[in-house]
Formats: sequence, C-alpha cells, structure tokens
Amino acid sequence: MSVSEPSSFLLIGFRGSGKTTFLAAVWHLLEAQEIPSALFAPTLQPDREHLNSIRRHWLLLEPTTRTTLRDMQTVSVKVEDRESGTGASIVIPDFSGEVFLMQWEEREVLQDYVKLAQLSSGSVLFVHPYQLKPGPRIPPRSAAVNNKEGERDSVPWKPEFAPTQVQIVDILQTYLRLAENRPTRLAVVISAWDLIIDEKITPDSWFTVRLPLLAQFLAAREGTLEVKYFGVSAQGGELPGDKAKLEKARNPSERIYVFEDGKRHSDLTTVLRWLMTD
Amino acid sequence: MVADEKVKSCRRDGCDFATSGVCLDGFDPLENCPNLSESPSVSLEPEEDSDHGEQNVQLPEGEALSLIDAQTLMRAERTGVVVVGGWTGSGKTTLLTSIYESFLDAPFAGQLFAGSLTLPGFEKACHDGRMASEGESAATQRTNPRLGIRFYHLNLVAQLGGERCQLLIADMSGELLREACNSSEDANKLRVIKRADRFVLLLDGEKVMNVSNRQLAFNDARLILRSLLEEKLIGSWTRVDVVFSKWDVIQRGDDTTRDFIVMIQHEILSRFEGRVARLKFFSVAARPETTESPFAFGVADLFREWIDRDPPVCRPPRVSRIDIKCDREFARFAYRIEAVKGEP
Repeated sequence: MSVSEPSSFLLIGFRGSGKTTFLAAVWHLLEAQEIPSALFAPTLQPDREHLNSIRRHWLLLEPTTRTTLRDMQTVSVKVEDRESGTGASIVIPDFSGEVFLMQWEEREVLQDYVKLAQLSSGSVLFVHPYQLKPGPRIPPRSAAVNNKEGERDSVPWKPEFAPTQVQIVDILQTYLRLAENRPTRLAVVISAWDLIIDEKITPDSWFTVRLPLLAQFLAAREGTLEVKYFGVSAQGGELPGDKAKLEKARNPSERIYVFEDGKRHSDLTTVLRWLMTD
Repeated sequence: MVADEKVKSCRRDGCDFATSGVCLDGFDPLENCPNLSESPSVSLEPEEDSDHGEQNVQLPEGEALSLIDAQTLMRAERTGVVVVGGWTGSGKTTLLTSIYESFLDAPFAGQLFAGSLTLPGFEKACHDGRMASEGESAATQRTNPRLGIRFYHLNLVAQLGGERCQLLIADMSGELLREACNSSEDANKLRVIKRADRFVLLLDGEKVMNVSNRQLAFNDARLILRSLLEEKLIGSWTRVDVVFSKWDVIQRGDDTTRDFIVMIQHEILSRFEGRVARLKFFSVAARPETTESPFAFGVADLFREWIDRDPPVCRPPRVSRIDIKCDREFARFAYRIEAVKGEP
C-alpha cells in the first residue's frame, strides 16, 4: 500500500447544515465497514474521541450536538482506497457554523481557519434546503425614492437579512482568496436530500434553481474550481419523525442516502474519494 | 487592528505620509493624491477577539468602495468604469440595485456573476426595496453626498465565450453633480469621471411626464452634458448613455410625451454626438411601480453595452412601447443552451 501526502479538506457551511452529521456517518462507514465503501480505515488513528462521540449520537438517531467555537476539533484519519489500494491521511477540521457566520456578519475570520484554508486540498460545501433564506423584494405597488432620512418607518439593515446564497458566495470568495485561487475541488453536499427527493430533480439542477447566484459564481470558476454535486441524507431521514423507520435498517450504514451521478447509494466516502482523486 | 480603521500609506518614493501624515506633493484634499492607498485586501494582522478568545483576522468591510480603493483596483487589474449620474431621485441607485437583484435570480444580460468585493454594500443598497425592511412600498435610500463617489464592484464572465470582465459602477449623489455643474472648482472634485469608459446620464421619467417639469428636466440634462464636456470630464474618449428612467411612468403618457422624448433625443444628438465617443439612448424601468412591466425592464440592454468593449455604432433613437416579454428569459435560455453544450 502506497501512502500519499496528507490531504486537508474544509467542511464549509452554516450551523445545522449537516457538517457534523456528515462526519459522523463517514467515520462510521470508514471504521465499521458494514458496506464495501470506496474508502475504509485500515488502522485506527491515535485520537478518535471526537469522531466516536459524534458517531454515538448518529447511531442512536439523536440530533448531533451543535459544534461551538469552543469545542471545535480537527480530526485526522488514515484511509485506504478499496479499489486502488492507495493509502492516505486526511485531515478534516470540524468547524462550528459560527466560524462562517462571523465572516459575513462581523467581517472576521479565525486565524486557524486562515491557516487551514491556505493548506486545504479541497472542500465540501454544505447546504440545507430548509435553511435557505431568500431576500424577497417588496412587490410593485407604489415605488418612491426616500428623499428625507427617517421619513420611512423601516427596519435598519442588518447583515443577517442578506439571502443565504449571498452569504455563502461571500464565504467562498474569502476561502478561495485564502487558498490563493489555486485549482481545487469543491464537493457540494445538499443535506437532507430525502426531504426533496419527491421533486425528482438532480442535485445540480436543484442547486441552480434554488441558489442561482451561487450557481453562477461556481460556474464562472470553471477551469480553476471543479465542482461536483451530491444529494445526501447522512442520517437517512428526518428526526424524530422517521426514527422508527430508520431503526429498522439492517445496519446503520444502509440508512445513508447519497444521490450521485443520477444513482442512489449509501457510500458517503465517495465524496472524499472524489476530492482526493488527481 | 480595529474593524473601522483603515491604514493609509503612500506609494510615492520619499513620501513618509504613513508616519508623518504629510503629503509630499501637497495634495489637498488628500483624497486627490493618486499614490495614496487604503488597501481593501485581507489584513493578516491577528486580532485578539474578546468574545471568542481566538485570534481573528479582519476581512474587508465589503461596503461600496471609496475612490482610493477603486483606484487601487483599477491600477491592479483591467477594470471597466461606468459612472452613473443624474439629479437626486432620478433612480441612479435603483438602477444599480436592479442589476444586482437580477443576478440574484439568474444570469443577466448574457453574463454570469463571478464575484463582488462589495456584496454587503449591494445588500445595504437593496434593503429598502426588500420585505426585510418592513417598508410599505419599495424605496431606495438617498445617496449621501458626504460619501462622495462610491463604487460597486462586479466580476463577470460571459455565458457564451467565457470572457472575463471586472466592472466598477460609480454612484454619486445628485447634489455632487449639481455642484459640478455650478462651479469649476466642484467639477474638479469629480475628476474620476475622466477615467470612466462610460458616463450614464439618467433623465427622470417622472419629470419628463410632468408638463410643468419636462422643460427643466431636458435643460438639466443638456446642462450636465455641456458642463462635463467644458470641464473636460467627458470627451471624445467617453461613451455616453442617456437613459430615460421610470419608463413605466412615461409609457402612460400620451403622444405629446412621446413627441417630447423624440425632441430631446434629437436635440441631444445634434448638440453632443460629435463631441463624445458614442452617444446612445435607453429606456429603463429598474423597479416598475406596477406589475405591467417586468422588474429591471430595459436594464439588460443598457448593461450589455457596459460590458461590450466594441458596441455597434449609434442607432437612431427609437421610442416604442414596452415589450412585456422580459429579456431575462433570453438570459435563462442562453444559460440552458450553454449548460447542454457543456454536458459530456
């Protein structure tokens, strides 16, 4: 087994977008090997407390606890590609969603994030369909220009009013600038895909329709940024509503739902393998 | 490093403005010094954050850029500069926000949005037209004259062909333009117009509709163009777009209004066509009052000109009814075609 240089991947997404659940499910696939996943963990890394802890919640079908700024962890895992036999070390910081929110709202970024973004080999962007905030315009009735300050009794602007897609574009701009715009890969994970499966739409089409500004931003970087879209339900359903159904799965790995290249499977490690592929 | 604090420094050899605060060339006001910089880039100086106990790095505020920031950008990269001018209330900021809002919905005027250094600035400018403002009707906050000229930034990529383009769109208060028309000294403060590839003059459609105001509106437009020409802020190097704003209002007018617009166009063409690089007329309804006209009506045609490096020769003016079919649909169509072509 040949081992390449460690790869560092950033998980980018707001609070509740599915980053930690993704990590928990990936760790279960790598470690438990209940299904022939693309990647597996041939040996256990010395420090696995955080991964085992979040996996425990995942196995018990409990909502994963929110990662805060204080309990952020960087996990390091040794993996092997089942097909090629190639080994690799991957480093994934489990950043809190607050790290991204503060970039938009407070115009600040953690020093650790700066360092990891500069070193990263690729990243995963998490988008949760139910957390998308649009920025609807006031419908046409009687437009008027505000000629006197304070004349209108309107609410002053706050950064949080900005549509989610604008905030994500801003965060990706910062990330790409820190990564010095070098050619890189971005896996876009649309979380809770089971919630929109009935729409019979592919993840990339859904993304283009629901987040058009962000889709343009990514399409405009074709050539320097390779993007692949995944529809993912790392838990397999909505909690607590689907708990009873999910408990009936033969093994926890089979709960996982991944929609990739028009096909459904349960192997979430393909997201990481795609990021690692030359 | 404090968030609001920006460090000014001078690139001129021998000038120690950063430490002494004195401009070697004696520029007054200081903002006129072409060597002064106030870099908008990410500072890597760590800051102790009291809330999180972590070392943080300050990001650019992302507001509309000052003249100095804009000049830094212009020097660093090839940048198209469009200055939008017009009297207070003519719809300058509304025009800018309609372009940004259009990109939020879909590719616009054959261009993909490829990024912006002024996203928070755009968002703030859009706020009074959004539901989040809880305003009863859509509005635009009046541009503060004390801020001077402010620049909104867009990076664009052509949907077909993939050409890249960086654009700065300058917004300024109507008062600044009025002062420039009244005094050469004040006109000198707007010297950045000289650098502009395009000057866009907005003619308030509501005033053109109003029998009592229309002659004054026409005279003001003529006065602005003449003043800028005589002050050499625009000239043979400048492409000029004369834009009738609030076209949805004008459209309700009778034949007299339409005849008056034709007259304005002929008068402006006859007086100024040979004195600028190109002169064209546009009709827009950036944020129509009713649903009869689509949002950003006519803006795509205007915006396409700003991107086009070699636009077709000036066509004769035309006054027509609004075609309800929105040009946005074409944009979506072109995007789809490109997407299909790109498939393996």
